[in-house]
Amino acid sequence: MSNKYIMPLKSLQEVDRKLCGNKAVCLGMLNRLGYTIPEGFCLTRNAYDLFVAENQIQSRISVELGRKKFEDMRWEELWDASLRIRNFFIRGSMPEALKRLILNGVSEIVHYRSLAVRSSSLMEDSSGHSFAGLHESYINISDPEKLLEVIQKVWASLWSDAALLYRQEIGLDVQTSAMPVVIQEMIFGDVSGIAFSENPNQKTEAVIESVYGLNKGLVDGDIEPDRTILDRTTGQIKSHVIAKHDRIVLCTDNSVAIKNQPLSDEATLNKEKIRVIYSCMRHLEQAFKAPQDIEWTMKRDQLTLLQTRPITTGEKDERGWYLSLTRTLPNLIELGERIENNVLPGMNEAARKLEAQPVVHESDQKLAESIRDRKDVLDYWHQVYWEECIPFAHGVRLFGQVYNDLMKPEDPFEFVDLIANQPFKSLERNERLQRLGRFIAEHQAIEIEAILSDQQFAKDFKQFKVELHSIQSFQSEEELSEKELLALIQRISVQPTAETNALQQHREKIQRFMTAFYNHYSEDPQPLLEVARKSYRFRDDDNIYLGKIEAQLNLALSEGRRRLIVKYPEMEGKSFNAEETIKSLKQQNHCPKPSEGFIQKIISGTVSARQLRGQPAGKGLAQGRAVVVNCYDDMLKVEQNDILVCDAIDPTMTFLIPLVRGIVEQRGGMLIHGAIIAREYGIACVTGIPLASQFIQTGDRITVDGYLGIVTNHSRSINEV
Amino acid sequence: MHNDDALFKKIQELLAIRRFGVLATQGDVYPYPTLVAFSADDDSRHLLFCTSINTRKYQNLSSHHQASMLITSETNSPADLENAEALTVLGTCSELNKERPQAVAFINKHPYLQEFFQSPSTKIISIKVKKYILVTHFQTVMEYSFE
Repeated sequence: MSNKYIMPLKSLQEVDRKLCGNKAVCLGMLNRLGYTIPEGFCLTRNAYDLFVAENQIQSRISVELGRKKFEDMRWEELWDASLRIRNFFIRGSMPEALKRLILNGVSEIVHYRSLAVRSSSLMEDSSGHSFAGLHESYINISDPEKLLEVIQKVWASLWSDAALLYRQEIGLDVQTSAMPVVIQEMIFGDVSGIAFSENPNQKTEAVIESVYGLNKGLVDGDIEPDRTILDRTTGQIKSHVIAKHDRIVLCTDNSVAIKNQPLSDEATLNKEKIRVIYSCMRHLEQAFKAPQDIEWTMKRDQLTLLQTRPITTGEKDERGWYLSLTRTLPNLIELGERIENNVLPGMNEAARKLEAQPVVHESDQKLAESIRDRKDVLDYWHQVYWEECIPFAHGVRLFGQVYNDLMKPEDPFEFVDLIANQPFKSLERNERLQRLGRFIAEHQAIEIEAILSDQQFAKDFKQFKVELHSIQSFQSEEELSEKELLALIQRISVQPTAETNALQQHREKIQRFMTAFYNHYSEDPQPLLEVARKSYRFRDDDNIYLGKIEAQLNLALSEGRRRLIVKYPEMEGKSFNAEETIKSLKQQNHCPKPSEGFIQKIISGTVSARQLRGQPAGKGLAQGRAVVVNCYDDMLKVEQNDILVCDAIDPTMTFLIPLVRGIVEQRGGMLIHGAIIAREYGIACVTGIPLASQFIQTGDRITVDGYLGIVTNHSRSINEV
Repeated sequence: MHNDDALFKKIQELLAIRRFGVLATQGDVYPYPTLVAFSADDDSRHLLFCTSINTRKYQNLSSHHQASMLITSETNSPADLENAEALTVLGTCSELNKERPQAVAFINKHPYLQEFFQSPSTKIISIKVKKYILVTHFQTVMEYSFE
């Protein structure tokens, strides 16, 4: 059986590379070199093209990726785009003729055995870079319906967030890119592993890594392998380290899972088997004219090769860090516990200690030291935040993917509804504000001093002032008057709190997911749901705790700034950073250098924007007066039913949310703080408009279309038409 | 007045093949042209397009229901002068319920606009065609009227 859609792996030759991709063609070549490969076939790029054409996916990807320039997209936005594209594939229908061909292929070539389904990208690994993990593979698939589903997922992985990140290197293009798929018999080896004919760390060596059972755990980094280092030219064993054999990847219904299970202490490979693998990799290096990275498995001494590819190098830029954010569920559970038990209490304790220290010191030197100490504490926790808290945010993404695969929702962000409605710190703070507002309303006629003499009120009020100060970019020349603050609180507190009347629907949605998950995986969905909720909640809480530490630094910085403006009056109205403040306090004649604000208003001449396009982050349509919040004082301009325009909603700014009708954020992403809080309150929100503050001014009449991600400015037209 | 099957067939072909047309609405001061994705119903008596309610064209149509659309087969080459066909459509606009079969036909022609189509902030507008004016071979101008 061979046609334009299906070609047996054993028949593939170099000439088929453009149709079948690298992985598939290399398997064909291994077969011709006399090695055993699993029975199977390649679903060619024609199959991908047919599916994409029948489901009109190409033009929809164009629309999705055309929202804004690639280079302007943040990582979060790439993930959002990828999730939307993935949904096009998951919800697409397999053309009947193609379905029949695939199932015939399974029947005739693989004889209905359990299957492995792997991507065979046309560009993969051909540019000298390592693109491992860009595309998806699935193993132990035995149900035909499930097979069709995973094929669609492998196709979708052509547009994974990681692939979008490396789009230039892999030549990803909406018009020309396609994804052939390898469908092969699953080999349940006794021992499996990988082999590098040249050790990437030491070119005179070769490396073999091996585990009992399937090699998925090894490839994913979840199981420690035995490691054999050999002399590359002679094959002599230089070292052979045997790992603790206590975990193995076992097959479950339609998938695999890692199980803790004591296994033999004996080495997974004896000398003879090592020699066989060494000979194989040397031979392949000669045949393919480049050092090879090989995946293999052995069953009763029979070596089967699963794939071979040239050894590539890893990227050492920030993209490598981004790719490392992908974590497994056990890893996330462990990380979540660490954040809950160590990181967040640690941040809180650090803030508490700083609060207990005096801000005002007699000498400038002492004040400079205090600022330095506070900055060091903040820098430390900031690093922890990047290393622990941001990777933990991946829990939401993992859940989103599982939810969409299972429920195939029309709205790819429906999953957020299942993990929202939690006791956010921001919402707690807003409740506190409501309390303050009610108190002010009840004591309208009384003097400010009298209101502030109430102990509980004074405590809540002080807390509110500290939180306002924590917004680093909002450092102000002058303290806001208490009268102005009280007026702001009163405006905010007359707004209703977050809607909770959809709670019943919310519960039903959760129940549907729980049932579907259990029916599909025969596993308890609770751990995944818990991780997702924790991940979602911590995304808010960690920012709040970090904000508390920042608030303490800002208090000391404000004092430093006050002193420096007395000394250098020309600095009045200009902002300068912590390092400049420290330097100027320490050195007698050092005038601080001003830093630039993030917004440069460039409305001039005849350039204006009538409509700006970003990401639809909170459903709704809202029209109102824009208030561009660029600094501390701008927040006071926010009135009821205004549209808030800002760079990014800092968690400490969320008290403004109940007041506003819509939000426009320059930063993009569906899971960033502003988007989350807007969804929570049911407010129209558009994110990812980097030019918002350039083309919108406070007072402009604007419309936020949170369904389509469009902001219309009705006040800025070159000519009336 | 023409009632020529060949002419009508030619018009229908153009309406079926082309995805986009230039819609002209009446602004307070100037005529206002914009590019829109359109579809035509089976008998070509109505053309459909979608617009956000925040656009100028929607505002213009709220005040002046008359609109025209230009649909061409031009390819931006000199040969267009002789080869391109240009169809001008004159008609009156009204909003159409998205559930109507004609509205579904629009999304069948433009499935990539599904999200835009379904948004509560998007309206589907039907142009009831009064007259088609087909220009071929540079200066051959034929008219097809439903009246």
